[in-house]
Amino acid sequence: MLIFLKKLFFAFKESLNSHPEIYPIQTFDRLSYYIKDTNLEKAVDDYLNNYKIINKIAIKNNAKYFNFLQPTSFGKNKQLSSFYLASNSHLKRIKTKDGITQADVIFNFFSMLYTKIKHYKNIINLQSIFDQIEGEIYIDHVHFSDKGNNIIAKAISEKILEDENE
Amino acid sequence: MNNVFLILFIIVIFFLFIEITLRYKKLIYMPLKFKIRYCFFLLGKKALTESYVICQRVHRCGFKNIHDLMQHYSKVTNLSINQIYKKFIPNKVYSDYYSGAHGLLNETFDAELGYKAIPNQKLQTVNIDEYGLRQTINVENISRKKEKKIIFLGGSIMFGIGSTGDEKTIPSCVSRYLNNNKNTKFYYKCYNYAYLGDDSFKEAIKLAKNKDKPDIIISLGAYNDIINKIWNKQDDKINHLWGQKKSYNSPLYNFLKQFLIFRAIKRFFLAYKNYDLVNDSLPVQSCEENNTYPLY
Repeated sequence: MLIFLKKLFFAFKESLNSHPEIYPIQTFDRLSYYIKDTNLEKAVDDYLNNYKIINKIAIKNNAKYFNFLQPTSFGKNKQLSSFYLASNSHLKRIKTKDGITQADVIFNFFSMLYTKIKHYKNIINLQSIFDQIEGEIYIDHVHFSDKGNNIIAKAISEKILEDENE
Repeated sequence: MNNVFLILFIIVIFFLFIEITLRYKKLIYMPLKFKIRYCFFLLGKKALTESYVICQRVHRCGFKNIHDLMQHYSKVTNLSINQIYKKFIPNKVYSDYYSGAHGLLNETFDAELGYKAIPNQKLQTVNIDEYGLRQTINVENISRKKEKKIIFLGGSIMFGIGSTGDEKTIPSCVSRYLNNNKNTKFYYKCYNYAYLGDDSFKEAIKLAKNKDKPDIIISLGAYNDIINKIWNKQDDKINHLWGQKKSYNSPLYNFLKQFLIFRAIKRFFLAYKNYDLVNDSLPVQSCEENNTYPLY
């Protein structure tokens, strides 16, 4: 009875919620359908396979290919401000039937990817690029401001120049 | 008979009252003129989309009002608060208009690439060229060096969501860095092929379809690869692309869809059914200054 009332109260609250934190609620079934630990490995493999396809196209065109992994605010090295925490909190609201939150899925995906890319010369991990930068970089949970773009652009340019000088 | 009409009249008034309240709440952070127009069904569809996205951003970032969000943007971009308001808040209420801020553009559907920008758009923060690509501000090749073509692939970050203009996107910055360096042997011309939500699979398709021969290919991403898999039920690659096309809805469904009260009823049943999948104990955090936490 208590659970029924809890559910009812929750449903009522969510029905009137103009900004559903569990967003978008329609995708619940899809979410639980895909996310399992085993499929995360497939997601990483898919990413690396696509990298190989692009690399093949680049070789065919006699072009150079550099793949940069974007920094995320899921880094371990930086103390995150309340802005980062607040803007990421919605990712922790949704969980699968196994109890994994969306934030966990993203974090596990990147962790797995970081270990696998060590054998790839042209995949450059930019995860820690903002670690030494003072002040805010992000405008939300994932996108950067002009300042962030500038730092990333500098890293890309340095890689291109380094390659030119080789 | 009169009583029946009276009851019906009261029901309609009650219905309208709830609808107007829901509408007011939905755009709670926007200026009053937006809220009033929306309450009385007078706000353009695109102006509504933009207003709602801004409200969501205020809410999701844990801010109390739109001014706090604009102040945050001002802090991270070094632009004045007035400049930020001009760039990020839609300035037209009446017409059906996208400002380009937060990635809101006029789009068309491509069977292979999903949604893409309609060519030749000039918006508040974004310009789309004749090929449907975000404009890159390339430095001029004054010293007539041999040209090298760089293609940039990626999702919204490479496209430049969060940048305050075309000249501040990653490809434009790279053009400046490389071509202002006197030691480079070449002139580098940059093209921004990135688009919102693109993952590595779409990048591969774009590159395979591209007829111009690049000298350097740069891609930046990985986040969209996992996000698209979470939300798009991406079991296989075909499903991933085709799954994005809008399905046909009946005119009655489309008519009812514009009333928030029906959406609220629908959300009630969905929330009841999916109660177990929500971490209800974790509220959305508010953003308080001078407070730091490790997320992991």
